[in-house]
Amino acid sequence: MPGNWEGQFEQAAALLPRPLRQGLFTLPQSQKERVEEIRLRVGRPVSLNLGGRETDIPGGGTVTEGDLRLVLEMASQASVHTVLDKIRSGFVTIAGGHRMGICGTVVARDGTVESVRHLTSLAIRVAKEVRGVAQPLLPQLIEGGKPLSTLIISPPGMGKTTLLRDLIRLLSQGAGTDPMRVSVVDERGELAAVYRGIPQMDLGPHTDILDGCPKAEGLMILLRGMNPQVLAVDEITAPGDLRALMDAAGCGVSLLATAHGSSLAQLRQRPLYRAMLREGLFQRVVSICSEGGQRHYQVLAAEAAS
Amino acid sequence: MTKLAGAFLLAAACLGAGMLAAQRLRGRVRLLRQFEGALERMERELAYTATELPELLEKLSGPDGAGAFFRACAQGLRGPDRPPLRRLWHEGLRRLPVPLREGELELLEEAGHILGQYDSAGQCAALKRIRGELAVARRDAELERDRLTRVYCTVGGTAGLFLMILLS
Repeated sequence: MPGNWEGQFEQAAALLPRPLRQGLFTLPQSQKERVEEIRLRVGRPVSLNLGGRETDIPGGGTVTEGDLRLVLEMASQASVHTVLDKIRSGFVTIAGGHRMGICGTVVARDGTVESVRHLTSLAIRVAKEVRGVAQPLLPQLIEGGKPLSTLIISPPGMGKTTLLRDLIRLLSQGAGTDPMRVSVVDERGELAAVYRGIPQMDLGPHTDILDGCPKAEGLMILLRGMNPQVLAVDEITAPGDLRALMDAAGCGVSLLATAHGSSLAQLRQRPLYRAMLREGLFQRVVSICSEGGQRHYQVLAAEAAS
Repeated sequence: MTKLAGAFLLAAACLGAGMLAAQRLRGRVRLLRQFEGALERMERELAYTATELPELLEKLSGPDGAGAFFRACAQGLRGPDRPPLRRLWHEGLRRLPVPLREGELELLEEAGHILGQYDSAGQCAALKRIRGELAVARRDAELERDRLTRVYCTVGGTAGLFLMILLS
């Protein structure tokens, strides 16, 4: 499968101070391609998540809190004010679409997270653009020349966003159907990774991107203003998102979305998703699982799922 | 003849030194005014568009004075091995074309400690306060300039003339 792992990995690794990243750049190419996350913990060496298994990188010394602060400053372009709401959610999306999870001492006020002080660890998840990963699934996701509303589910880190991104690109290009006008609400900036107005990831020629906008509001904005044929959002987590999706489905637009869940059975146990499946919002469910480090994709009819 | 030329040169040097001191006073006022304006623009940008600092610093960049300071900070923020903004800011203030007073530098240093570290509202409030104190410093500098510019030029010219008479 063609991809740009090396560029993406090195872009993510470049956030680290020089002494810490030296060991990363000398890794063999085969290992770089398998890196899913770069993990930094105070008092520990840098470690890599390689296909789900963590490996320490020796030789770069141990990570200090100052290192973590510098990485966060690099990631936020020295502008905490632009990412503060994301820090409160526990992660920051950075240039290139990488996601950086943040741990430390939380400053809470009135029961809500204000900020994080004394950083203790960071996890940089390397964004991967895997072109063509959705291609084999397309025949099952299109009916009568129209894309079917599809929900992609998997546990975290299995490639939901990667699959959704490729699906958007293919539909926008007209693979398996006429080219579609796809509108994307990229609340976390991971799908298109827009940086200074320019998408860093290819979402196709007929795709409109609303970057950094809350999903529920974004879906309505796009419906009103962009006349989409397909609406795509990443990670449905709130009842508001679900209501907006239901409104959009009522307008005859095909929906593409992702949700965390290890299986359909587990998804059905959660009230939000149970309602979503019951309402028949999606016609197809793509479940991603991993066996022996390989991703497997299973397409199910949503009636079977519900 | 040589003696006369030497005396003339000494006199010119004294006058020049006086004018240079006066020029520094004017330069200090100009620099403080530029910083005041830049901080005001920062406040607006942070309040209304939450602009990222590299972009904001680029907008404030210019060929000289405070503009050159912001340009150096913006350039320093590029690249993979950049130091923290706080350090870039501190080093930039030490390289200003006209040396500011310690109190003025401390005010500007404070801005470097705040920028990019807090939410937009917090930064704006701090910048507004710093800008107010900078305005007071600028007004003091203007008074000093008005009072001393003529003194420096006169003292320099008189000293030069005195030396010329003494040596010729």
